[in-house]
Amino acid sequence: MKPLNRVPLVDQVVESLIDYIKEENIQEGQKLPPEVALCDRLAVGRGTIREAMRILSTRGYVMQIPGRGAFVASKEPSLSKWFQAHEFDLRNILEVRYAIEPLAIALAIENCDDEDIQKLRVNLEEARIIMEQKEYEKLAANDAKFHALIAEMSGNSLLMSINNDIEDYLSEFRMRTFLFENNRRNFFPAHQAIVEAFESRDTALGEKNMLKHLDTVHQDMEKSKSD
Amino acid sequence: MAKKFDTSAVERAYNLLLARIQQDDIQVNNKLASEPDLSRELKVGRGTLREASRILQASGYIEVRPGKGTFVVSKEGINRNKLADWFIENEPKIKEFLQVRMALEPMTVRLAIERCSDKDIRNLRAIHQCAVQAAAEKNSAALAICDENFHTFITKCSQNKLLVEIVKNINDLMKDFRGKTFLLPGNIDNLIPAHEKILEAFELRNPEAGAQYMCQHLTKVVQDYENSKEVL
Repeated sequence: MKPLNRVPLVDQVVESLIDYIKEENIQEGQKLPPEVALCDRLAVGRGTIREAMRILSTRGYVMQIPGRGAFVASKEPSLSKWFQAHEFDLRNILEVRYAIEPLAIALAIENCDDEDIQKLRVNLEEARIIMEQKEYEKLAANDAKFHALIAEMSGNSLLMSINNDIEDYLSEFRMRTFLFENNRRNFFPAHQAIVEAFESRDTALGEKNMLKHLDTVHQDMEKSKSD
Repeated sequence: MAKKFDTSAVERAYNLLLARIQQDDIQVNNKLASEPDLSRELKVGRGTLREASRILQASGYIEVRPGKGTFVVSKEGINRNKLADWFIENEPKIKEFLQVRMALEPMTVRLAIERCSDKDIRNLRAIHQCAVQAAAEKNSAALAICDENFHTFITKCSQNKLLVEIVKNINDLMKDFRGKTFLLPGNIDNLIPAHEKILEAFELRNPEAGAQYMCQHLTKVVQDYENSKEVL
């Protein structure tokens, strides 16, 4: 027997709202029904609606304006267009990460203790479960945590603060990149290889695997522009 | 241009303020006039004045006590023992930002050489000329400013907004270090040839050479720092 695949409630709400947005009588720019009405109609809680709205806004269907509500941004949004429009910023971020992350990981591997490595393992296990349960909207936070842990383990407070600077720019990108199946697929093995370098306390391997990870991120970014 | 301050104006303000501190009627622990008053009396802008005060503070003449005002702490300036203490006390912090600079700046130079205009290179040459002059005059205060201008301008040429922001934050931390490190004559002499080489890489439009020279420059800065602790 094939195991049943449980579809998370949020995903069901997202799908239902996309169907609604695509209906013929809905126009771009039109206001969506208020949160309370959606809770009623779909018989789910406010938290679920908010989560779904966040996903829809990341995917370009919806634009949320604080104090005014949610509006239809596009009936056929194109993620690739977002990647094209932000190409310049994304390239800037990547340039900085190419310089900073190898240093961070080298220092982290030199300085870390078993407890630190355990924290990375826990993060990696969390990523594995997210992938297995297909709760992809949680990947961005997991990924950010992974790199923040490494910056923290470097023991260099300036690196931590730079990581925070980068994170402000990067969060928008992270949310979108994991909407591509290809990019999700590349994410886990890259982090796994990095954790292995920690486990063998191999600084050179750590730097190498981190650079490889960034190369892949770079390629994924290029692909995301044209998909 | 990235040049934040007119170096010669800051120098002038520095000299005026120093002359005032060294007047006979001024005693240690005396409070100096407020910033607006000084700015009017010495006929210098407040930004320039603040920059000059910062350097005088780094050189051990005055101390700015937030909310209270600016006080004279020494009429002779830096005390070498105190300088040594400062280097040792701040060692972890200094090591941290030198590590980060070693990671960031070679890449920054590479990008800058790839992306800058010919006019940028001429501007960088002009900034360097200021440093040459300051070094000839053994003016450590002016040199600290020229050094910052040189590195900041290269970052701007990289056209990476994120880098510009990061370097701005690092520079705030570096201000003290730059002010103090050039109080040691050997460090003044090392700066000019190092910057000269980097500048040549710009003029030859050779990104790899630029990255390499920057790397050598910073390695030397780390060594100088180690030596600073010993000679003091």
